[in-house]
This record gives sequence, C-alpha cells and structure tokens, in this order.
Amino acid sequence: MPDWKPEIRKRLAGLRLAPVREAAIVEELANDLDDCYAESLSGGATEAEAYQQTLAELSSHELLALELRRVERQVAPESIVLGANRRTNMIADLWQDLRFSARMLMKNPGFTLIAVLTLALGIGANTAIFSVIHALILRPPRMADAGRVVAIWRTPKDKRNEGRVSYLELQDWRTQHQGFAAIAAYKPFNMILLYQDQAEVVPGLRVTANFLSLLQVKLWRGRDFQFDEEKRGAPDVAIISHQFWQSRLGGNEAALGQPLMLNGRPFTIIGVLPPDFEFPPAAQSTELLATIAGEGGNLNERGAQVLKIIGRLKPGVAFTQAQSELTSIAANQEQRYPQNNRNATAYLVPVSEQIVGRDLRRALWLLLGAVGFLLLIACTNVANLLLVRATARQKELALRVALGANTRRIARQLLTESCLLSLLSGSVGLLLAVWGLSAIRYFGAEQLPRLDEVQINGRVLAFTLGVAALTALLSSLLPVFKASRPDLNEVLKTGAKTATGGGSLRMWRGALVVAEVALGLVLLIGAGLMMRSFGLLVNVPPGFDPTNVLTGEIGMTSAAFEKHDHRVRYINQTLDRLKALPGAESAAFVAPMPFSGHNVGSDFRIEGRPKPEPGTEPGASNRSVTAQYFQAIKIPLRKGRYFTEQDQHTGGAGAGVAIINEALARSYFSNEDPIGKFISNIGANQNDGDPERWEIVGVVGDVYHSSLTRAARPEIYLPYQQNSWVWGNFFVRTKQDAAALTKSFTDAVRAGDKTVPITKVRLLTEAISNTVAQTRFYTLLFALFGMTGLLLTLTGIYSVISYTVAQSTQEIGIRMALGAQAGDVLKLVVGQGMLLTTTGIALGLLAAMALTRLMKNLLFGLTPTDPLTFGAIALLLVAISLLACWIPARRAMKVDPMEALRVE
Amino acid sequence: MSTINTQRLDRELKKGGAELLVLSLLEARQRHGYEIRKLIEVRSDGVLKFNATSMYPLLYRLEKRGWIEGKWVEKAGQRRRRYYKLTKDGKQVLAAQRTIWQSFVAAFNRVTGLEHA
Repeated sequence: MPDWKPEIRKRLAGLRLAPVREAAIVEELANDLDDCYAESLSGGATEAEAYQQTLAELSSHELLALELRRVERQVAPESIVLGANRRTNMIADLWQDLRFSARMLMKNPGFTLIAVLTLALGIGANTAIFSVIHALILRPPRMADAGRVVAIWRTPKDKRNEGRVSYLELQDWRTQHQGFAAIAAYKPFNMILLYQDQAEVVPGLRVTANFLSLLQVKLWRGRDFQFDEEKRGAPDVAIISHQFWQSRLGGNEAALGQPLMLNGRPFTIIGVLPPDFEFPPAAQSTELLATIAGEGGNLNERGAQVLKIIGRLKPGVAFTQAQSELTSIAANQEQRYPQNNRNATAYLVPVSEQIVGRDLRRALWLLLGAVGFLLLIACTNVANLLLVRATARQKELALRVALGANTRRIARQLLTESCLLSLLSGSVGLLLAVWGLSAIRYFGAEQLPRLDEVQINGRVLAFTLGVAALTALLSSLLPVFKASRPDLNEVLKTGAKTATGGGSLRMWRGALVVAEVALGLVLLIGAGLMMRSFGLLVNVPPGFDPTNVLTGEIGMTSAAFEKHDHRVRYINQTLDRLKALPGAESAAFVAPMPFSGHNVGSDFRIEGRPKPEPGTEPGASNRSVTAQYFQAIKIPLRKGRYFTEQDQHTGGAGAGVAIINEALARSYFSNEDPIGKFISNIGANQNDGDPERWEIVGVVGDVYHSSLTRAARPEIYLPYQQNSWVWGNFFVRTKQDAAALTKSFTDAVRAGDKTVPITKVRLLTEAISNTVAQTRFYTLLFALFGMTGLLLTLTGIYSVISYTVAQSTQEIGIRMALGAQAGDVLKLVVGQGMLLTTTGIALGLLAAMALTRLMKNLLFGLTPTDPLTFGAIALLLVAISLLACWIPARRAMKVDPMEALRVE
Repeated sequence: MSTINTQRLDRELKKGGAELLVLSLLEARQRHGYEIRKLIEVRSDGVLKFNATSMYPLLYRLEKRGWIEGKWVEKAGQRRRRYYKLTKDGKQVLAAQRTIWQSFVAAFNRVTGLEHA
C-alpha cells in the first residue's frame, strides 16, 4: 500500500494549519485514499493504474488547499439559504481574494520583486514629474488672485518674445485701457548698498507707484509709494523687505524715515514689506523696492524700452477682451510713433507663463509624456509576466471552472492580484518619487523656478493612485481576459501543451514584444534627439576662448566716480593689480561681459548716408572695453587693428575710435570697406565730453553674447579710455586653473576701493554653462528615462524570447532529432525574435515621426526627424534585440533531443 | 421564496445540493467520508461523484457549522476512522433543506413540465 501522507502534506503545506489539525486531516484523507486504492485493485487495475487513479482524487495541486482554506480559516460561515442576500459574502469574497492574492505574491517572491520594481520605476517617474508639473504649471503662482494677473509684452507681430516697454508707452496704456483694474511696471534692478562702510549688491526692483496695490500687498509697516514719487526728480524713497528690516536694521521701528545709501544716494525708508512677500516674475528675491523715478531721462524717452509690465484684469473682463483692447492701443501707438513701434504689438500673457516660460513648460509636458511611455513599457513587461504565470495556472483555473467556479469570480481574483501588485508598486514608486524629487531639487535648484513649491501633496497622491490603478488595469487586462476563459477541453486533456498556451497566447505575447519595442523606440528617439541637440549646443564655439578665465562684476556708485578720469584711473590700477597676480596671463575690463546676463543696445548713424526712415535706423549692441580686451579674451581680428593704449580720451574734440564685429559689417557694410568710415549717435552710456563721432578702425570676429542659441548680433566696441561705464566685468586669464585664483582676484579688486562691490565671481565657462543649465537639466532627465526604458525593453524582449524557447524545448528537440542543425535552431529562434522586433521598430519609427514634432522648439541644430538619431536608435534596438534573442537561442542550440522528448 | 438570479441559482444548486446529499446520508447512521463518497456515486448510478478533495472540506464545513459531528472510532483489528453523525441542529437543517428542495423541485417541474411529460 503506497504511503499517501507525503502527497497530502505537500498539498496542505501552504495552509499553516495547527500540527494536530493537519495530522488529523492527513490521516483521514489517507484512510480514504487507502480505500480508493484497494477498490481500484479489486476492480482489476494494476498497481500503477490504481496508484494513478487514487492520486487523481487529490485533483490539482492547489485545489485541496483552496477548498480547505475556506473551511479552516474563514470565520463567518457562508449562508446556504437559497436566495438569501449575499452582500456580506461579496465583502468576505474580496477579503478572501486579497488574502489569497497576498499569498500568491508571497509564494513567488522573485516574480513579485521584479514586477513591483518594474512598475515602481514607471509609477515613481510619473509621480516625480507630475509633482513638478503640478507645482510649476498647474498650481497658480503665490500671488493674490493670480488668475487675473497678467504680464504684457511688447513684441514683434510675427513673434512671441518678451519685449520691454518705455514709460511713455506705459502711460498710453494706463490712460487708454478699460479692461484693467490697474497696469504697473517693474524693472529688476540690483542696487549697491553702502552700509557701515561696506558695499554690497542688494537685489531689488524699480516699480511704478501702483505696483504693490496691484499685487494686493498690505505693507507691514509704513506706507506705500505715492503716484508723484514715480515722476522724474521725485525724492528718493525705498520700501524694504521684512528680511532686510530684521537682519540689517534689527527690526527697529525707528528705521522708518531713516536714509539708506543706495547707488551713492540717500533713500528714505518709507515702508516694510510683509514677511511673506514675494514676486515670482522677478525670478529672484526682492529686498528693496524703489520707484522708477530713478530711471531719470528714460522716463521722457519713448525709445527707452526698459520696463516690464504687469496688469490686473477687472473682474468679469475676459482675457481675450483685454487682449483685443491692447491690440488696438498698440496699433494706435504704431501709427503715431512708427520709429519705436514698427511692426510691434502688445501681447497679454498669464503671469504664470511669465514665471515658467513656454520652453520649460513644453519640456516638462514632454517629460511627462516620456515617463508615460516608460510606464507603458513597464506595464507591457508586467503584462507579459502575468500572462506567463496565468498560462502556468491555466490548468488550475480550468479545473475550478469545471467544478463550478464562476469565471467572473476568477477574473475578479486575478484582477485583485494585479491591483494588489500595483498598490505595492505605487507605494514603492512613491518612495522612488520622493528620492527623485530631492535629486531634482538638488540639481535643478538654479535652473527651475518655483522649485521650492514642489512637494508630494494630496493631488500628487491622487495622481499616483490613479496611475497605479491604470497600471493594474493595463497590465492585467490581457492576462485576465485570457486566463478567465480557459478552453476547458483543451487544457484538461492530459498531455496537452498547456504551457506554451497554444497559438493565441503566443500571438498575444508576440504583440506585447512588438508594442514594447515600439514604445521603447519612441522614448529612446526622444531622449536621443534631446541629447544630440544638447551636444550640438554646448559645442557651439562662442567666438572667444572661455577656458581659464575668471570674471567678477563691479559697480561704481560713490560720488568720486562721477568723473571719467577717476573711473579710468580706478580701472587701470585694478587691472595692474590683476595682471600681477601669480599665474595671471592677461586681464581686461569689459562692459557688458559676454554671458554676464547684461546687454545694452542703441541705434546709431552711419555718416555720409541718407537719413533712414523712422524705425529702420541701424541698431547695434554697445561694448566698452579696455585696450587689451580682444587679445585677452582671444577674439580674432578680421580687418584693421585692435585698440591700443594710445586711443586716449579726446576731451570732446575730434573723433574716437570704434571696432565693429563681422555681423555689423555684413549687415551695414556689405558692399564697402567699413575701415575709415565714421559712425555717430551711439546712444547708450554716452557721457558728457565723450567723442561725438567714431572712426571704425577694426573688424573683429562675432561672439555669442547672451546665449549659444541666439546668433551673434551687430556690435560696436568703444575703448574704455574714450567711453567709460560705471559698471562692468573685470576678468583675468590664467595659465592654469583659474578657479584657484578666486580669492586673490576678489581681494585685488576690493583693494582699490571699498565702496565698489564685486559680485558674481566665477569662471567664464561656468557662466556659459549656466545659460544652458535648464536645457542640460531636462536633457539629463530625458536621458535617464531613455536609459531606464532601454533597460526595461531589453529585459522584456529577453524574458519573452527565453520563455518561448524554454517552452519550445520539445519542438526544438523534435526538429533536431529530425536532422536540424544547431545553426537552423539559431536561425529559427533569432528569426522569430527579430521578426517581432523589426515589426516593433517599424511601428515605433512611424510613431516617433509623428510625435517628435512636438519637440521642435526644444531642439537646437537638428530637425525633429533627424535621420542620424532615428537610424542610430533603430540600430541600437536591433542590436540589443539580437542580444536578447541570441542568449536564449544559444541555450536552444544545446538542447539534447532525447532529453527534450522525455520532458513531457 | 425570494427571487434569485440564475448564476446564483447555479451555484446554490451545486453547493446546497452537495450539503443536502451528505446530510441525508448521515440521517440513518454515522458514516465515514469514503463511505459517503461511495454511497453518493453508487446510489446516483455514477451520475454524481465526489472526489476526496471536495468531500473532506465539505464535511469540515458542515462540522464547523455544528450540523454534523465527527468522531474517531477504533474497531478491533482495523485502523481508526473518523465517523460523522448528524447533530440536533443538523437534523433541523436537513428537514428545512428538504422542504426547500422539495418545493424547489416541484416548482421547477411545474415550470418545465417535466413531471407530466
């Protein structure tokens, strides 16, 4: 008589019954099976047949445990009364499903771990990017009733660039508008504070008098600006931030009414801002507010377009209504003042867009798209895992159906399982998102506005939950559908090839691979385009040599610097000290420095040419540089000569000298030699006693000034000796590591005059790199998600192919027994895999061509359908698919035909 | 009788039916599990068949509800076996279920016309 007990115990193992109870059940069942066996034998069966028949009584592996579990563990007895209300049982069923699912997941820790990690990656990435989007784009900025606050741009009609406005234009708008509660102007303006003999730069704003009332800011102390205080020549008054008041003035009430030395003039403190004041559009903290009265002459010049504008819409006035009103005012201005407003119009922009620009918005949405693809890939992977498992469980499920289980009930069980899986993944994903966000905060702090507002809050949690639910649905749809409709006859027939799941399952698995490859390709092409574009961007030669150059910005505001000679002497003495620094190769002063964030431009006149139509005067950026500037920063000379020490101030008599760049030569001297020509009326930063006309003595190469993406514009360089500015940058070029000189550089500048603050001491390479920091930031994220997608795709293809190979062992064995060579098997396996992959690649290429168009504005130097990127990524995917197919194929080649045939 | 939908009916028939069979067989005297299985198979001419996997969980369920009671019995020269007998509660349930089933079958027959066919 065979011993049945081990067989029975095996089936009870998962139940963790009390030992005594288990022993009793085992004994009772063994008795039963003994009787069965004896009866079979007496019925004429052989011992082997009797054994098989008896064992069949135990049915499938899990069924006994499943049935017993209901009895042994379930607390509430099930009602058996016909037609009774069974609602309580639904909850009991759910509870049972959950516990059963938990046990199933624990039973396969490997499967669970891989599935949870895969989905968690997708969910985590989505959560992180969504929380950034939520804070930066979806949530209104921290301003009172921010929905009604708008920025107003003066912009060319065919473009949508932020353009500034002159005070006189602002006054036109202020008097002619109907739809606005108020229109105000501001200008980010750093002031030099001289406090207790120390000079420092304080970030501030020059504003119109109604600025704070427009923002609905209530002052903490003191009073707001009055309208007269924004007029030219008004007394200097300032409102300070709460922080400034506390830290520098000790929160002293007596500070109100006291003077503060700003830019060399005493400003009376009239008010203190509330502690929570912030003005996000300024993109920096605001410590001081002064009125635009400080703009002086600019207030009377229609061409002095230096102000940024915000407005607050009246309640009930629609955005479009206000826009059309502005458009007509702007048209009117264009007609009346064509020289300043040719082809210009006014453009209304929500203040939220002023804070987070369109490119960044687009990049963030695209990133959300990218992580969406990542999640889809993860879902395909897990769907495939679930499908494989469902196939393995098909016989069990079929038996349950045969015994009367409701197929809907089984589908529910499977769905519960993937819900549990997704919930688990969601939790892990949330953890990943929290980590990811601290990384984003760390690396993106300088590059992203409003980043401090990014957090995991209720809405983000809801999003995560939603994504997890979607994930559950997506990854389990196919497996549930397939598994809850098993073909009973097929499955239950012993010896049927249940494991490969027959043709239909194989087809579905193939479809998953195709989808996965296509999704991965789109994601990778997106990432590839961003990376290649960024590579092109950072390799743009700036037109000068930025390596080993250390720069620092200064401003001369004390009364002593009002004289030209004094300024020149200070600059020259400081340059001498800088040149004497150990390791210094050369030093120079320039205003404004490339990549310093400053630029100044004006119209100019070319002597001997007819007066141009208003609005078509030639324009150029202005630079004032010391004699050795071009040699020191290494801008090549194209024609004529560089400046020399002999280009001295003329004291008002005679002409000065000027050097122009190639862009200016191309634009305005295309048919003649500019050398020896005279230009005049160069507007900006002209001092009394400067030359009136300037002779062009040289042409130098173009440089990028504010960004690597914006082509060089016409520039006029004047010698500092003849046109001295009160602000600008010193820089020193060193033979070796320039950063090591930071301290002695700063000290050398300070040594000249304590009232001159030096700020932004940094390497020129760093300044350039900062201008692409935002692009670098999201390119990095794209690359990261692309790599993750690649990894998931690789594992996905690999697992499907290797599973299929493992299940086709018998088929391969038969083929080899019939004479197939190892090479044929390789061809078969790799061929099957590559057919799927190439289909996926073809579909992916089509999808990518449609989708990458959305990236057009973010790409630099290449088209969204860049053939090189498309080709390279497609090849990459072919290569990794080959790898993913080749490993299982090699295993298949080693199949021993005899062994394979014995398996079933 | 309150209404039931067909899916539930299907399930109740299988489950409730099995319970009724077991309870009925224990009415006359106590029996062990294998005996119950065989009796059902034989008396139904092989139409109804329970395998061990289904029978014992069913017995445990009925026992847990207090409708039947199991007891290990040792007889001379035999291994010990677990015999089940009907409890007082079980008898009441059996009576109730019989009535329900009878009226159910009668109703069923009236509808389908099987009785008078």
